[in-house]
Amino acid sequence: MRKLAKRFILVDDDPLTNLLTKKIIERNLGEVEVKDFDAPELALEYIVTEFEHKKFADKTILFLDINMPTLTGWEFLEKYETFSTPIKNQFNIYILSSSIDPMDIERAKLNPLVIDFIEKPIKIDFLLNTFLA
Amino acid sequence: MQKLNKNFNYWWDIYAKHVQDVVLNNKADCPEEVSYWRNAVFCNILTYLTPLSLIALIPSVIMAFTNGVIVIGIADLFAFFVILLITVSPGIKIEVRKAIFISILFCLSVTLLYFLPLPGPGLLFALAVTILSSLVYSSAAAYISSWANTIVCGFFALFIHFGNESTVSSVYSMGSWIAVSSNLVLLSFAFSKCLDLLLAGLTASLQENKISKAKLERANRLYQFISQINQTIVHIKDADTLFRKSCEIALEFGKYQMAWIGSFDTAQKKIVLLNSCGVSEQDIKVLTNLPYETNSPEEYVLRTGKYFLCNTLEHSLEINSRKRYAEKLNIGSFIILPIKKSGSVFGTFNLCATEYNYFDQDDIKLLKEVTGDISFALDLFEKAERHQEAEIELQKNFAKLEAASKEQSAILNTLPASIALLDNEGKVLKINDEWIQFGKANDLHHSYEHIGKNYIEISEKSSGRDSKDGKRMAKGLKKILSGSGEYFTMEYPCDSLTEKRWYKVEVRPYKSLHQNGAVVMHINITERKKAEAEMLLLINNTEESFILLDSNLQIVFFNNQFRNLYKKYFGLEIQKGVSILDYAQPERKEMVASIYKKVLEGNVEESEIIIADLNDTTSYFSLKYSPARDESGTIFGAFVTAVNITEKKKAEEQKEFERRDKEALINSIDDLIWSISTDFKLIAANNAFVKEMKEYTGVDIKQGDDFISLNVIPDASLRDWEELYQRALLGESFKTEIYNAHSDMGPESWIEASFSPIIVNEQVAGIACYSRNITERKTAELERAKITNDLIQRNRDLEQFTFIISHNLRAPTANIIGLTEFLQNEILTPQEQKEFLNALASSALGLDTIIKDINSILQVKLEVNEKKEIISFSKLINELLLSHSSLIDKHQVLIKSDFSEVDEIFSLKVYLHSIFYNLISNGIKYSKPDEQSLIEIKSKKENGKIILTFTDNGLGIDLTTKGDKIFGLYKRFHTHVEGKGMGLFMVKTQVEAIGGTITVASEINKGTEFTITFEN
Repeated sequence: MRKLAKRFILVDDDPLTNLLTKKIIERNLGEVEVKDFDAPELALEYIVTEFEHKKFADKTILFLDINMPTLTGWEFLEKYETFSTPIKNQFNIYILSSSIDPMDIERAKLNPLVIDFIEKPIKIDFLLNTFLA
Repeated sequence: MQKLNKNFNYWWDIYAKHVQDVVLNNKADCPEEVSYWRNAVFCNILTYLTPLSLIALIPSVIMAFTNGVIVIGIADLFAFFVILLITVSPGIKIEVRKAIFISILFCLSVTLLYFLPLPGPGLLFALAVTILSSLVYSSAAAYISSWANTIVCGFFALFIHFGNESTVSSVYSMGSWIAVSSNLVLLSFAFSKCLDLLLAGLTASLQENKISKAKLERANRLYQFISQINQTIVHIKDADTLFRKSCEIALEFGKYQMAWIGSFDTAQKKIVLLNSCGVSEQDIKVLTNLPYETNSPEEYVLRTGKYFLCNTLEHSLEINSRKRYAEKLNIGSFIILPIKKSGSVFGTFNLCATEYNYFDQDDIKLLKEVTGDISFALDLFEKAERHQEAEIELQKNFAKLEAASKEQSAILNTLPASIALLDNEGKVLKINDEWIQFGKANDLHHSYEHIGKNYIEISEKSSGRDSKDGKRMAKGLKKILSGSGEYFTMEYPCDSLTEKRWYKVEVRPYKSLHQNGAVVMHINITERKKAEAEMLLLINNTEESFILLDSNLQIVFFNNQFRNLYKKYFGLEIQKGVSILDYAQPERKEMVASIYKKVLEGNVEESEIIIADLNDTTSYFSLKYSPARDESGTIFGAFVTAVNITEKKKAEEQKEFERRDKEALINSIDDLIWSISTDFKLIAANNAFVKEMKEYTGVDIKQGDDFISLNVIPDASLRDWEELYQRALLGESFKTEIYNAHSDMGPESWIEASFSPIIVNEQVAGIACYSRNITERKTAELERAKITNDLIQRNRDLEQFTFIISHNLRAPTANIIGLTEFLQNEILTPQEQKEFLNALASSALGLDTIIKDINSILQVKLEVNEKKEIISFSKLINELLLSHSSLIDKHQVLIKSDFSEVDEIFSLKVYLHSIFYNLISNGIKYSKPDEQSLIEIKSKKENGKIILTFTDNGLGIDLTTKGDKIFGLYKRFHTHVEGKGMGLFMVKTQVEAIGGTITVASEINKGTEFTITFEN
């Protein structure tokens, strides 16, 4: 039996997507904490400052977009990879992208830091199956 | 007792020595000075006074204390200790010691006067002070002391008069005091005066003594100097040693600091150093070849023959030039004295001294004498030398005469000729050694007995084989002796038993004071005869045929070949003594005569003739006519050589044929073939090459023309060609393609060229080149490459669309899907509903924008075919600034433009407008918020290309990470500014559509520069 995920971080430059994803998560998973970032740099900063000393028993779920102007999802992952293992152990990362480019999907699948590639918009079934079973 | 005395003496010596050491401080004063004696007296006074003063001190101190005059006791003790201190303590100047000594005694005398009831001791001390002042100080000090005594007495008189409560006043009345004290005053002055006179006399005598001693020394020195010089002159026989010795003596006996002798080189105006002493190696270099100027001391001496004296170098203006040198060598005064030779100034004797005013009248007088002696000695040397030379010359002449006589007879005897002297009858008078030797060697026992016999008879009597020659000889002798001939000669064989020999006899008349006759000389000419025979052999066996003619063109000599030539080709037998013209073919006679005429004038002539022999075979002959010259170079005839050159001619013809064949071969093709030498001169070229050159450069290129100076290669490609040639010259054989840009020499073209070094004797002697015009093929290739490029570009565009669809079109679509799902499935509050509907609308709008963007991009690709026009950059920017003034004003941007270099371009105005607008707006958008934004736009022309640059001082982009994406669609690099990432994509698309390229250079926080290049 998987545990209920309680913390979500959304990284996407499109505030509309973030709004929509946040609403869907909140509606379907109930009591959860969802934090969203338009700028990926701020998300990285937040991860470092918040998770350096805290230690949550359960994993935090991070949804990451690929096409962002200042820092792409891939570049975000490169920076994230340099973080300490105790921080990285606290995250499950999913790529949440509107892209239907097979190259992107392939690249996500090959990246060991990424659990899965999810196509936008996020599906309720996926949420329920993955985080509430 | 004796031991005690010895001990005392020992300690006294130590004491006395110590006092002397500390007081005089080992000052080495001159005993001729009075001050020396004053110091010595002072030292002795201290030495003896200190222990002796105890005699006075002990009783007076005891008395003072017992009688209650404690002040006196203390003063006595104080005075004693002070004197003891200045006697034994070191490190005090002698003048200070003296001052302390005098003042302490004076103080003591005043104290005694004041406190003792009786004036005796005080007055005694006062008098002692005066005497000691005179002895150890000076006479003036004694007078001062006398006056001091007078003043003290005066003061005490005042004490008495006013009844002051002192010991003196209580004891004396005014009258008695004056009586007592006046004695002191009198004695003080008397002693002062006496001692003054005594010491003055002493000083004067000391001074006199010193001066006379110095004079004596000087006189002695000068005497020694001159006597040494004179001694040297007597002993020495050559000038060099005299000079060296003179310099040495000047230093050793004359006590001068430096001495040197130089001679004048009037031609070079310099002084040649002959010898020196006391001058260092380095300074010698300065002295050597010292040039002398007009009005210099040396020049003065040379001109006047008088000495030059400078007693105070420092103040002499005329010798400024050598002051520095003199200072360095510490020279105070110097004298230059002339040294004469045969009455005229020959050199100088230079003497230098450290002191000023060193040379006084005595010195000068003596030095003049010395140089006079040296000059005299020089004349003497010269005379002696001349005398010696004359003697040697005489001896030589005598020896020569003797030698000549011996030589003559030796010559006669060693001559390889047998010589005999005959009298007018033909009788043999004298014979030389060879005559006798000849007789001996040939076993002619009677030959040395010829003397006294008649040689005509001997000749006539000769028998056998020699009889004919004997008769000729007798006839010749008679002719000479009778006076009807000046010279007779004949050559005759005279074989020995073992070898073949030839002799030549010469007879000449002989006339002397005593008698007339003839000289007969037999010379062995076997060697010459043999050589002649060998020469003949050589001449007759060469390939060449030759003939020698005299100035009348008569044949003098010819070799066998020449004879055979005439025989073979003309059927003529030539003979000596016949004119060569007689053998010439009639039709050639005139021409041959003119050739010989020229030759006899000194010219060398050549001609070729073709002769058919009797069998009708043609042969070529090369004839060379040279003037024949005798040993003095005078032309005495003509020398003709003939060489058969038939073979050579045939070979040349064959070669010529081959050359023409090759030429025809290379001229038959249209490609260019040529070869050049190592210094870039044309060796050969085919017609196609010459034609091409003529066509494109107007130059009619010929063999031997210089490629570089002819200017046939366009300047732009001159260096490339030189490089190619150089490569080939290094031995490389290669093929290359050369591009010629469009120029005044023709349209753009491509050629394929190959270069091969021409190797002669393993060295590169030139380059063989071949070139072919491949413009057509190249153009086709380029066309193909362009099509391929276009296809690749098209493919990239398609990829771009795939990207747009997969990323950008998908993003709003995904949002719309999510939002509509949400709106359908969830129960929402009115507030939420409104929010979601807004989001939905925004997404739909985004979708629409992207579709419109795609449309405008596609539009770009279609519009290229629109009409192009001439656009002015400055006009364009003015329009832009006008229509977007609000944007520019709002952001406070400064836009500078400079289109002075190139202002016009033939292009699509719509695109250019869009490019300018997008780049300016890009610069404004990404300006630094805290700094005045500046955008600079410039145009320039480079290699025919128009280049536009847009430079801003904005935020900049990190090109290392974003470089490849900067012109990508929907790429943005800053989040704080609105933008959809379309501008730069459009700029690139439009620039490329009108045939340009765009590049970017940027640095974060410094700014960005876009460079657009249009191929004109």
